[in-house]
Amino acid sequence: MLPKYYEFLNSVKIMSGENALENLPHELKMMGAKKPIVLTDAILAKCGTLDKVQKAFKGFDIDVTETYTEIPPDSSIKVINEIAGIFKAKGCDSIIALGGGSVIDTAKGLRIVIEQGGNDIMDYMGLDSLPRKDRIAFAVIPTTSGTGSECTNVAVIANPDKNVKMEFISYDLLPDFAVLDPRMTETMPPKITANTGVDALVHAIEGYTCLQKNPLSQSYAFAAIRLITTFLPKAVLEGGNHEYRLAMSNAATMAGIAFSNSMVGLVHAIGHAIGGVAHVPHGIAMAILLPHVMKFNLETLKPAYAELLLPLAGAEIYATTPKEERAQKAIEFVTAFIKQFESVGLPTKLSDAKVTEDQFDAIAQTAINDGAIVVNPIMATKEQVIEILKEAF
Amino acid sequence: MTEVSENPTQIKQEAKAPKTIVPGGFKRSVCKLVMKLLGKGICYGYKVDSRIKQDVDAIGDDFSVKLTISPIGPTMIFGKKDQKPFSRIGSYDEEATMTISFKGLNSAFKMFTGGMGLAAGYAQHRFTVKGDLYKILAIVRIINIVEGYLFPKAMAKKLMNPIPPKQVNSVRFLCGTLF
Repeated sequence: MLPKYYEFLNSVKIMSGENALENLPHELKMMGAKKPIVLTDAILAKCGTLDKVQKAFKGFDIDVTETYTEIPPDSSIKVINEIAGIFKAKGCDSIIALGGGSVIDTAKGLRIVIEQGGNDIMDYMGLDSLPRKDRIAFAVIPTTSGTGSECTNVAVIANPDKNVKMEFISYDLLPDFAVLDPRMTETMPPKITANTGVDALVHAIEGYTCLQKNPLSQSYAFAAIRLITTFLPKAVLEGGNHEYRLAMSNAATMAGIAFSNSMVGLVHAIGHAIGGVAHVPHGIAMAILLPHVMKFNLETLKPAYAELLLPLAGAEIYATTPKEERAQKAIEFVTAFIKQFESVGLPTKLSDAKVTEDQFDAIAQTAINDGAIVVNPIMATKEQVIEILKEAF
Repeated sequence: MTEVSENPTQIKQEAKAPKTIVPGGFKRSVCKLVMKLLGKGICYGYKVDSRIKQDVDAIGDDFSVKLTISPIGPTMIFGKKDQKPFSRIGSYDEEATMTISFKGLNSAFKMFTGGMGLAAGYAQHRFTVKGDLYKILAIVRIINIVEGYLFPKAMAKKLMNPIPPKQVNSVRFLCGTLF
């Protein structure tokens, strides 16, 4: 059934496949870019991934020597404001983000500050409230397959003073290009492959079920789930396989497009809070919380979860499961699917992720103030969030 | 103690063009009335409902929230400022620390008359938000609580899932809001 009203936008040019990186300089050249700032983290700078990107620009009249390689695991307002100063001082004119969610979100924040002509990202907080300004070229090269941030209108940026992760939502956050090149993800360790892949699964499931869902976003979510359940276990076991890596990159991007247009719900609201209060990596928080939040939402989302059994478990299981049992079966499948990654070190309980019970109150208080909670089909109270945390402990 | 007003600068511009009629007169008047009721309800709720007090106090001691309908209002502002109690503050053209701006009169009318909940309005991109989303969520929760008191149960059930439990009787809340 169609929603009464919906909006959908994905303006990102997706460049997917072998040697996708080599097509990026041409695209940036066509947008008039001469001196991008390349944002990445210290590990990618050290392990040679940054070199691969810089080599791809050889022979082009584009200077990619201006780099910022100290982006922390959680992008923060301080880092963004610092890079904005460097961007202006060095005369940069475009942005290349090479990395996972924190690098990409930092780049999104930087783009806002530069395009809006200010100095402080905090001046631009809000939802869909930024005036359109002259755009600077912005390319993203994801090195994980999870956040989908290369195709989303959301940035999550930490405010270390308040111990919270802040959400910025605007179509201006969408990059111009997303480069899905399997060489960029092939060295990802199994544990990170698993937790980022589960993050993509959460994006797809919440994108399929949250209040802002629409037929287009659901199509992307449905297809992403099928890819993830088929290829994530294979990518974890055989990381060097380009087919598996590319499938997971596409899945994460599709899940990103889905949730960018339908938003994420309670798993993310609590997950952001756990990240802010207990500093648990995002993908790990997602993996721990997903089954418990699905149980919480079950009564309201029974028909939707029942539909999801098809991409989750495949046609045979879907067809042989009685209609009224499909939703419950979907939750059981998700629980078992995540549990298989315990073998590569993925925690499935909050206690294993070093969250303590005395942090529950702060986590719950932060979660109920997270933007994601609004589009969850049930607006959870603080007490209900604490109950979910207890179950996940 | 809230202030609900239309933007006189823009109304003045409308007035200069003699044949221009301010659109949506009836709906605008209803929105203005409900906004006033909602604003008074929020301020009264601060005194009698511990959840509203807790949320307001958690936002801080110096903030203002503007609710407005594009392009010409009406507008309501409430908040805490200059050590004064939580109430109506400032004037309609003042920059607020947080602004919720409805994109159009029709959707605002639906939201203020029980045709659409805040969550559905958000999902349908019916309003924009300027300011700290973390704090805006507290405001959304407060509005839900107040609507739970002021709107009939059947209407509230359509607007939110679940309806926040009441700490005081609805009749008492309505009387306190009005008088």
